[in-house]
Amino acid sequence: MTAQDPHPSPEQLLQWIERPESAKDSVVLEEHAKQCEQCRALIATLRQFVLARGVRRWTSPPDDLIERAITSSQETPILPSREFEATESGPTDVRGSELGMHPGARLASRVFAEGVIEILAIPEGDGHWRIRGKVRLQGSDANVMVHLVHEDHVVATSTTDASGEFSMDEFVSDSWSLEIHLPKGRALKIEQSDLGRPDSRK
Amino acid sequence: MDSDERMPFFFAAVEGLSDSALLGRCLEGDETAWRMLVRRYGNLVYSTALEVGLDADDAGDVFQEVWVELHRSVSRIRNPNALSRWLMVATRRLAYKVAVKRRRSISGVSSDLADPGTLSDEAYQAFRMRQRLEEAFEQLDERCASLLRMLFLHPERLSYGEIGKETGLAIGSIGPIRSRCLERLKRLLEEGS
Repeated sequence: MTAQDPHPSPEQLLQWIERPESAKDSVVLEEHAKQCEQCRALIATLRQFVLARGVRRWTSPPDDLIERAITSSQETPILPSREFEATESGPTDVRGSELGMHPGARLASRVFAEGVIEILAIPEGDGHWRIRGKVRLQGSDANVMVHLVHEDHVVATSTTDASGEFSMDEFVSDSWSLEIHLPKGRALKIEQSDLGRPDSRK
Repeated sequence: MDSDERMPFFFAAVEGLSDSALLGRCLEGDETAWRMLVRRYGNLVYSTALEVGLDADDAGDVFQEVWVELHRSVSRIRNPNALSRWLMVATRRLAYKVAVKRRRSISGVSSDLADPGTLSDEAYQAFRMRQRLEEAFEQLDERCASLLRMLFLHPERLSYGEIGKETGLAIGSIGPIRSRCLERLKRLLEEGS
């Protein structure tokens, strides 16, 4: 605010927005803002800058990195939507620390129409899970796709090998699930909660 | 010519599309829509990886992994309007994974990153707003964009002298130019919202 300009400068207003108690002429600025529509609009814009200043490092990735990311991501197939057909659920046989395994580990198996799946889930702490499994299909040695899912993130995906085994070593928050996509489009879903609480059956 | 040098021609059809529309096109195999998404949110993903404490190499690895995860998850995105949050959640989790796998002790890279619930609304809104401002800056001329960044987004408060030296602007012209640039930016943000 000067003799030539009755309005506070954007820099003055910015300081007032960030630290109203320490801004010089704080009361004057507040009173002025109440009366001045133009300044209120400017304050609204400046508040957006203040909010954005919470990001300390806004950096563009190198162009070659962007290109590599575009190429490598497109090599990964888009997986089917979560409303997959015929999710089958049934009793899961769960065993745990009584097996003398890693504390909190769970060994679960489930029988379904086409075969049986066995899963060993070992929590390593801080969201780190080691998951091993075997899918045995009756009369088929087809590979099976297994997805580790949390909410709407497909965190990892794995395909069973010739022995029907798969493994994952991932960081994922609790309440994850495994989707086992069987040949012919059917899918089986096993929730983390299906494996029981770690150590609850000691 | 396989990069976004093609942008003016190829991107024209998708440039103004919403995230939801772009994701829909990606599901149909539209490569240009996918490129547009990576371009639109590339800075957000890379900056998030750096912000949590990764160095440029690790941030680059995480950057690639995030887009792989989005590509395979495209059909499952429940709220396309919150795509930036989705990307931040994935980036933070993958950043933590990289830090742990390499057994690096990086200050600020905590196990909290693996939990989507720990992405604070404050941090999310800060990135979202920065994204919004940067999108608006792209529609301003370079002089305006860099002046506004220096005046209002620089971590340290720069003097007009320092800004003049950096931009080549006379100190006396910075104030009037800044006012005009702010006015243009305000209009762009209003149009955008």
